Amino acid sequence: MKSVLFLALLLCLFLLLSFVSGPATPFSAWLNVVTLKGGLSGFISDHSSILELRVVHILLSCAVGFALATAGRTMQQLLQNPLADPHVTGLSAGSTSAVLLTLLFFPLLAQRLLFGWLPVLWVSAFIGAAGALSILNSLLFRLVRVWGAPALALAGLFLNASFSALLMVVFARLSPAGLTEVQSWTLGAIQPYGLNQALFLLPMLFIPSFYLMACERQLLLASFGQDFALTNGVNFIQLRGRILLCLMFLASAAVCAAGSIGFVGLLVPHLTRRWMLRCERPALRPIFNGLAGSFVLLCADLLSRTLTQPAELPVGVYTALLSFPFLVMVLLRHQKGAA
Amino acid sequence: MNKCGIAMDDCVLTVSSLNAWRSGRWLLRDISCDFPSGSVAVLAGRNGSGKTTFLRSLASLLLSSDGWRVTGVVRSAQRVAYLGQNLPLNEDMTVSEFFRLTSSGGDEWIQMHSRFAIGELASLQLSQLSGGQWQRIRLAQCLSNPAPLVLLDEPDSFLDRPWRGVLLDCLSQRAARGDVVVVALHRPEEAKSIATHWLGFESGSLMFCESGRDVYPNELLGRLFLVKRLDSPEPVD
Repeated sequence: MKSVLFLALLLCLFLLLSFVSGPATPFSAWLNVVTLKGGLSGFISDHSSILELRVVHILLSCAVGFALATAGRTMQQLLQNPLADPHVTGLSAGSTSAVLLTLLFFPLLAQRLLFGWLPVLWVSAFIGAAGALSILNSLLFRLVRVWGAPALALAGLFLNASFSALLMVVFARLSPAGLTEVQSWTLGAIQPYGLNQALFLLPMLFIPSFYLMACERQLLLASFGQDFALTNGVNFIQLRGRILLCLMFLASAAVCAAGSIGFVGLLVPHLTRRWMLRCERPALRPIFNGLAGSFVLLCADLLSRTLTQPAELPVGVYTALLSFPFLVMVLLRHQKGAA
Repeated sequence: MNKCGIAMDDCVLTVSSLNAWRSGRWLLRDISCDFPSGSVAVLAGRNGSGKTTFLRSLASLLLSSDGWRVTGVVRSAQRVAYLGQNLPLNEDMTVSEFFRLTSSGGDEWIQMHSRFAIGELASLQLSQLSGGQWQRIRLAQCLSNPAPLVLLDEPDSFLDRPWRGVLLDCLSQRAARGDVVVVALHRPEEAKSIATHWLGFESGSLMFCESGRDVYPNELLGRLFLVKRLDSPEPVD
């Protein structure tokens, strides 16, 4: 309980920090608010569009981090594979390719309404995720028998390679300006959405996450194998279907909001797993995991907006960078556990 | 086709012409047998003879989505207590968490808890358990399920002799209560005292089904394991 509260507090702190830093609202403007020069209301009316952008940006990065961490944890539990995550398995790449193909075949959309016509893009992202998942499913079925657990990484590698080849086709046909925008999006960058679009995406990110968190007990039973789950009253096939559907929702919404961000879904569950062993209430574990995902993505986002001002590197670059120390932490802890 | 010679109506578990097919081969062929309330059926047969598939088919675990084609009729209880082989370990849990997750509690559970001396293991992490300790935990979990049909796949593996004795005690107790116990044993000869049915499997077919207390089909079992003695490094006798 304590650790969850602590993490929530830390998250709030970073929310504030994230809110006041970045190129769009210089710190001096905030000093004016603090010293009440011109008053808070004056400031808000001056900067309302920036405020909206920033609030939406922060909310989206929290939601995407939460969703990715939850999706990664659930996939790892469901597939009994420590490598499972929407990015490694090619789910995100599938969604990304589908969105870009939609933009390619409807160029008007790309020029005038890039990410404006969100529901259409979301539908194509969903179809892409579903396609990737069904290929993965059929590939895995054969590969697991031959290769065992590493088959997932192999199938993911294959899918990611195929989708990035597809992306190259799209890149070849884009204008230079579109290219930079699309490239940063494929690496993972929170999109500058308005409030309306955020209101479309946020439920799509949070509702499936909450559902997956509610499946915790069934997933734990399933972690002892299909036979065990079935004889202990878990309808494994139905559970699997529902979870895969949720994963498709999460992956497609996350891709629409921020492109394909790697490493959050892979590493955060590993980090939180050992951390939460001492927690008496298993229900808190997925919550802690989700909050940790939000926290990591918020950190990465903060770095991406401040470290290289005025230019912004895609947030995916920083999650990859941050993942390295985290990976070392996980490895060290495993070593300690083994010794 | 009533090989055990018991009237159908008394039978809690009835299997008739059961076939199971997967990946181009038959794993079970034309199995028929019935077990009245209070039976302890011991399955014998060499590795890969179909014992596990038979138990899984009784527990309705052969799913068509996994490529299984199952024909025939299995009439059994809705609820079964099933213990499979090779349970993958979720290493993040402690023993007490495992029981909190899987057991509903109740008298049965308290009894099994003391029978298999779970108390001394309660605070351990699942990853710290030895094979035998983990097997005791699985048995306690499985046998605290009060279902009328108990299916156990090699419950005696990893167990020391004293714990094997406890296991057989528990099984005879279940049978005395009127439940049907079907069990594939690593050492079938140890179950002489409690078995009421002996089923011999070879290549997915039922070679014999002997019933009655104090009937130990010594010669039949010997034939089952010794016919191909050259292939089998450890004949049971």
